[in-house]
This record gives sequence, C-alpha cells and structure tokens, in this order.
Amino acid sequence: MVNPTKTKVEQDGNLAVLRFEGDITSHSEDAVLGKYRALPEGTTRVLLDFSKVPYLNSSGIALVIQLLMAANKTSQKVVCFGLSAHFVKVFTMLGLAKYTTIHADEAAARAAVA
Amino acid sequence: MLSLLLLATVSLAAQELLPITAWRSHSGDNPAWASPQYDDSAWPASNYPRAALLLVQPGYAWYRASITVPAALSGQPLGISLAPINEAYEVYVNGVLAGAHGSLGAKPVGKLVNYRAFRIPPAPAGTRLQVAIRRWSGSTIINYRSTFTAVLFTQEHPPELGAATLIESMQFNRAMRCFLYMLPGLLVNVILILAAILSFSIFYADHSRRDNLWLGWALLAIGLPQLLTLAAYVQDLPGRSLLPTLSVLIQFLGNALIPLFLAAICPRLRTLLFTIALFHTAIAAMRVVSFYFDTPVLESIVVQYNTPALLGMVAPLAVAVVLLLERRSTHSILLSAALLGPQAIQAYITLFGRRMEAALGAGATLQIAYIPMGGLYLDIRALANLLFTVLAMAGLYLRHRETRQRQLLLDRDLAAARTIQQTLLTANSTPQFTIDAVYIPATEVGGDFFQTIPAPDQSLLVVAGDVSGKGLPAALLVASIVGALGDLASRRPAAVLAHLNRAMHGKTSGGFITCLCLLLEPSGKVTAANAGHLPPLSNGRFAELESGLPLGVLPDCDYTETILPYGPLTVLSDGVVEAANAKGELFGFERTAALASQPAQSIAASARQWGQNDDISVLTVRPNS
Repeated sequence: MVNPTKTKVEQDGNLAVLRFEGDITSHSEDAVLGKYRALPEGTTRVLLDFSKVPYLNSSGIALVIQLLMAANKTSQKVVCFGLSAHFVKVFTMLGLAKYTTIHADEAAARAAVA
Repeated sequence: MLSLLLLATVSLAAQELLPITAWRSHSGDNPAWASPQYDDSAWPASNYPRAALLLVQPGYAWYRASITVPAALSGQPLGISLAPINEAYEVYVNGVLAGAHGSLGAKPVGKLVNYRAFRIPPAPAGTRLQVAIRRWSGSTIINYRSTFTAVLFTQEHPPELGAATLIESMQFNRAMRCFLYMLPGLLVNVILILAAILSFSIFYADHSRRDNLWLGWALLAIGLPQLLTLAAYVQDLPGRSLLPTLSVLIQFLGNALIPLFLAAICPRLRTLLFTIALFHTAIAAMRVVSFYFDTPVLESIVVQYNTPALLGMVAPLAVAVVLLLERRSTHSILLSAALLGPQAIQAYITLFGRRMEAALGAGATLQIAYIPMGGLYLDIRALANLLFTVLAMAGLYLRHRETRQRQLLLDRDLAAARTIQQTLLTANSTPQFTIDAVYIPATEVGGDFFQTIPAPDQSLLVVAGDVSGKGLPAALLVASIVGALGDLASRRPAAVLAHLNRAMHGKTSGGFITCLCLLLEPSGKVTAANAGHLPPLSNGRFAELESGLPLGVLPDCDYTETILPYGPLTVLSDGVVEAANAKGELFGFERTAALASQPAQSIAASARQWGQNDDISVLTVRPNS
C-alpha cells in the first residue's frame, strides 16, 4: 500500500531542507518538485531528507532526477541523507553521484554543504 | 365482491346510525368533566375531535356531547364509533369509562390512528347519554406514515351511536376500505423493496457497481417505512415504540441516502452531496429523538431547518446537469429523468399542497396527492417513486453495459499490445551463446525491454532496459527504443547508449529510461556500458560499472565502457530487487545475487512469489564454449 508523500520545508538563510515523508511515486510531483520550485530565490544549498521515505519507485526517482537536473542548472548544491542501504545503491547505480552526494545522516549532510 | 358486501352492510346500517353532534370542547384536564352532571354550557362549540396526524395543540383536551337513545336501539348493546383521533384518548359515557385508544396516565402512550368502536351497556329508549372524550396529544408528530393518513378525509365521519355489532362492523369495514385504498401504494413499496434487493444483488456480484449499492439503500429507505408502520398498526403497537421509530428513522435517513446515491453516479459533486447527506443525517437523528422522546425543543429545530421542497431539488438538478454535460448518452438522460421527474412531482405536491392548506385547512395536501382509481387510490408520490426506480435501474444498467463494452475493447487492445510487445522483445540463442529470457509485466503491458542482436562476426549485442512507470505509456516508449536500435551506426556499448539517449531525449515526459548495453565477442571479451540500469550479475555478484545518467534526461550524455569477465551473465530489471512482500520487505540485492546461477525463469518466479510490484525481466547469457 502506497503512503502519500508529505514534505516539510525548513529554510535557514540560503540553506533549505526538504524533509520527505511517505513513499515517493508518480503521485509525488507536488510534494517533490512543487516544494523545490517554491524555494525562495537565493537558496544555494538544498538538503534532501529521505529518512522517512520507505520506498521510491522508478517514477519517484525520476522526480528526484528532475530536481537534481534543475538544481544543477542553477548551480545549487544538493545533498541527500537518510536513504536506506538499498536506495543508496540504486542512486549510485543510476549515476547520480555526479549531481549529488549521499550521506548517512543530517549532520554529515550539513557538514558537506558548510 | 368485497365492495358489494361492504356496500350492502352500509345500506342496512344507515337507518340505525345516529350522528352525535353539537360538541363542545375545553383544553386542559379535569376528571370532573367526564360527569354527566357537569355543566359545559360555557364551553365553546367544537367541530368534533377531528382526526389528525396533524400537530394539534399538545397536551389534554376534552370534548363533550350528548345524545338520546332512540326506540329502535332500546335494550340492545350499543356502540359508539369514532373516526381516527390523534394520539391517545379515553371515551366516557355517563361518567363511565367505555374504552381507550392508547393509555393516559402519568406518562401517556399514544397509538397510530385507527377507526375505533366502543361498546356501552344497553339503555332504554329516552335515556340521555353524555359522551365525553378525554384526549391527549404529544408535542411532536406521531403519525408520519399511518396507513390511514392518506384517505382520512375521504372517510371522515362524525361520531355515531348504533347497535354494537353494526358499529363494530362499520368501523372494521372503514378500516378495510382504507387499507384497500392504500393497496396500490403498498404494492409500489413492495416493488421498491424488490428492486432494492435486485440492486444489492448486482453490487454483490460486482463490487465495482457501488451506484447499485447506494440505489438499493435509497430504495429500501423509500419503500420500507410505510410497510413497517403497517406492521406496527396490525400489531396495535404504541405509536412511539420500536417499529414506528424505526420507520421514522428510515424515512428520514432516506433523505441522506439519496444524496449518497447521487454521489455514486456523479463523483464530481461528491463534496456537495456528502455535505447534504451529513445535514440530512443530522436532521434524521433529531427527528428520531424528537419522535421517540416527544421533545418539542428538538422538533422546533427540526421543523425550522428541514429542507424546503424546492431546495430538495437542488442536488438532483445539479447532478442531472453534470451528467448531461459530461456525456449525453441514453443512460445519462435516463438517470437525469429519474432524478428530476419524481422530485418535481414531490415538490409540486408539497408546494401546491401548502397553498391548498392555507385555503382549505390542514391536511388538504393529502387530497391532491391521491388519484382515485375505480375505488382505489393511487398515491402520486408512490407513482413518482416507482418512476424513479424504473428509470434509475434502467439508467444504471445501460451505464454499466457501456462501461463493460469499453473495458472489453480496452482489454482486447491491451492483449493485442502485449502480443506485439512480446514480438519486440527478442532474445534468441546463437551458436555461440545460449540465451534464456523471461518477461513478466506488472500490468498487461510494461516498460521493461531487452534485445539480443547478433552480428555476422558472431558477436552478440545485448541491450536491456526499463522505462520508468508502467502500463501502456511505458510500453509505447519501449517500441520507440526498439525502433531506434534498428538504426545503429556502431555496436560499441557506449556509442549505442549515446545514440539511444539522443533518440529518446524529449520523449520521456519527465521520466527516464535505464539501459544496460553489453557486447560479447567470440574472442572472449565482454564490454559493458550502463545508463542507470541494474548492473549484470557476473561470477555471482553484481558487476561494478560506472554509470551515466539514464536515457532521456539530458540531450547529450557520455557513457563509460567497462570490461567484464567472460562467463555467464544475468541481466535483470529492478522489478526483481524491488519485489516486496506483504510486510514491505524488499527482495533486495543480496537475495538476488544468491540466485545468480539459476535459470531466468527461476529467478523471475522467485521475485514474483516474493511480491511483484513492477515489471520483472531476467535474461541470462551463457557462452557455449
């Protein structure tokens, strides 16, 4: 059974944290891309928190890829944390290492963009 | 035959029946008012304790009149007949209690209105009989659906004195005649209940037909109350007992069930209709509490907020308009007619009746609600309900037939698409390589693909991939990729991926396509390039490949080639590793790697058994030497 995605946004100056909750699927466009696009101009650092995301299907991963591509165009630095071991592997296999870094926890992610 | 018998009985009795007239009335309660010695000359004249399901002045009232026993009735048991009176009363003759309808005491208990006869002892000619009626009415309406409410005014009669047996048979005949008058309406209610059962059966056979479920409930709520009240009447139950209360509850819940049926056939207006249903549920609850506990405070609120007749047409009108705008088909027209026609009839009777009541007095609505039919009466509202039932059932039948036909066509097209897709997914063994492949889409068609392309130099190009998403859109992209593979300038895996990336860019609608390309050469060299796909299993583990972005994300993308050990290879889609069981546990990389030496069918079956939620494809390639 799919849990719909909810996203909390925390803004701290030019740093934004998008905290996703629930499965990320094709129904998550508003929760992922919508929230990203609504970030204020001047946001140069974005943390993606997947610690409460049990599952991403291929459509959901496509949304994350679109987010990374959009961030790459504006030179925003995007880091991910909280992914399960399975999805760390999936993200790596997908060749996303060039567009984001994956960290075990929020502290490490914040340190990477400090 | 029965009518003739009734007529004959009436004719014979007519001469021996004496109307009791010149009534006086007084509100309040005083046992002394039963006494024949009491002087009621100061009481105002009354037009007799008129029958009513109507809301009369609550509380107690007394009615008094006197009559002299004629010679024709001297010395024989006498009887007094009374037309239906709301809601409980006692009859005194010369200060002696002759009988009661309901019971009066510390807590009066009313009963449904009925034609009553009361026996009094024989009296010699010339005896003056002082008749006193002590009547009590609750603060709320009790006779919502009394069997006799409709035809009361056609059979209203003044109280009469006559021979006891004659009076009793007269009253019985009047009651039976009322029942006969009501028979057509009762039969309609039975038809509605049968239609409800049919509707429930249709839902039971096909749970997708929720509109039939809600139609069944609505028909039950329309058809059942009058039958329940009839059952309560036949058993002579107290007016506010369980069965009549249930009748009232179902009657008013019907106003909530109909919007729920409308919501099932018109999801676009669901929010509005659920709100209306909630409102009516609250009204129904208040009605029942008000009825059962006879609480006037709740009753006044309920009367004030009950939906006026015209407002009751708003929801059906809105739904009818939406249905016709969405799709002007036969079933939409029938359903719209089902919603509007009967509702308009109900609204007409309610509104026109109110104007008649203003002119002719309370209860006049009933006179326009019934059509005389050769001695019987047909309730126009029952006719409206029957019309609603027939049109709604026919409309739903046609709607579902159309849906079924469209689904059959779609299923046929999908089956054809699957057949075509299977022909696009080629994986044929060659003299150098044994290939085993299996593809299990999650739906009828899917987004996984693989192609094995041999060459005259005996090399084998293996291309496998996965379009994000499922179903027909993904399958159409697969066809596009397979087409692009027919136009390769180079068999180098990195070049193949770059070519496919350019071909698919702008076609993925925000999605992407993972793809793995392997070139197996008879010299023993295996070259791989990856665009985000699951790496192949080689030597029992997932090969380490540098991956570029999936196809279609960027207009141009470079891919890196890696040399793999020569030997059996297993290419899989993520449908294998991401199969999930009921607990949400993924099949995972480790379990998949443990099956590396298994045939393709075996690996696919294991993942499917675990819990398929995406397309599964497995391809094994084994060099024959």
